[in-house]
Amino acid sequence: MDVVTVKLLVAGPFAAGKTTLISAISEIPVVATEAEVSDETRATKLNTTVSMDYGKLTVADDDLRAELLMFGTPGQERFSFMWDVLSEGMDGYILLADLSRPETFAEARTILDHFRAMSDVPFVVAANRSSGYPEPIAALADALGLEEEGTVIPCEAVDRESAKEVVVTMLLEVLSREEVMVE
Amino acid sequence: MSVQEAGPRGSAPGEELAIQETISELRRAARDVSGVMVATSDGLPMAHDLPPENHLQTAAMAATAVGLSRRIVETFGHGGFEEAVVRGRDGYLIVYSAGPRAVLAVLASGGANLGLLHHVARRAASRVSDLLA
Repeated sequence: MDVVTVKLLVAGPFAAGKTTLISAISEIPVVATEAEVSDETRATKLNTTVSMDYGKLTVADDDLRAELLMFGTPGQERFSFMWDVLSEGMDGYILLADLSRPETFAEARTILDHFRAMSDVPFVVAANRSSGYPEPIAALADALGLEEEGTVIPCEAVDRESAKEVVVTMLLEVLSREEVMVE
Repeated sequence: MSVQEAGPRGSAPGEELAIQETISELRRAARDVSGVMVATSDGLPMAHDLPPENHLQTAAMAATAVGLSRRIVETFGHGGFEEAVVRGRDGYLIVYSAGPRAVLAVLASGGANLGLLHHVARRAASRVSDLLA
């Protein structure tokens, strides 16, 4: 059986659900670096990632075992230096946006543009909290400058199966487009 | 030069003035220090004496360094986080815990007396922690 190790980043605006997504699927205790929110965004969420999250998920079929190393980034732009630090050697990235808060779509676009300018590894866009918000998926795809809304995966980051579907989609993108390290 | 940030940072104006005074004392006591930042644990400036173009990123970096360092000391069972020293050939950035809500970052030249620096900066961090308690 082939074994591949794949490094994935989870990026996206403040409070999109990045730490939640990694926590939902990691098979190890997530290494999280959270601090209490001190400004007006406290109304949205009490804690925020200041450095990184780290989690791991192994998926396998008959031919291949993939170890996914998942790195979560801080969302606020003041931490953008960490986006660059963590993206070193990445095989792909997930851009997570909160579909219930369209006011964050422009910020999601800024982050996606930052990553696309930095790297040409594959990415997928996941729309968190998609239940009950079927319509804005097209709005999100449009705000992100994506040509087809089908490239956005609806998800619920708190739900293990839903979160897993996002990272497996990312993995398949990586395997189809990238040479990954096969041991 | 000392700058006080406007806006809700979870501290009263009197506290912020006292933090600025603590920064000034630190500067007087350690000559090799080139800049001081007191930031919230989530990376927003509270008070500092850095050039305006540097202060936002410095506050975020201080919080990142402390956040990761806290996680490292927890992982290895080394007790509560106290400080982390980042040394380059030509200078230091040292971050100190200043209670649960704040961090103290000190920039110093490569020739700085680290013993003296720790002595005065730990005292300053402790004072900031008390002010915000």
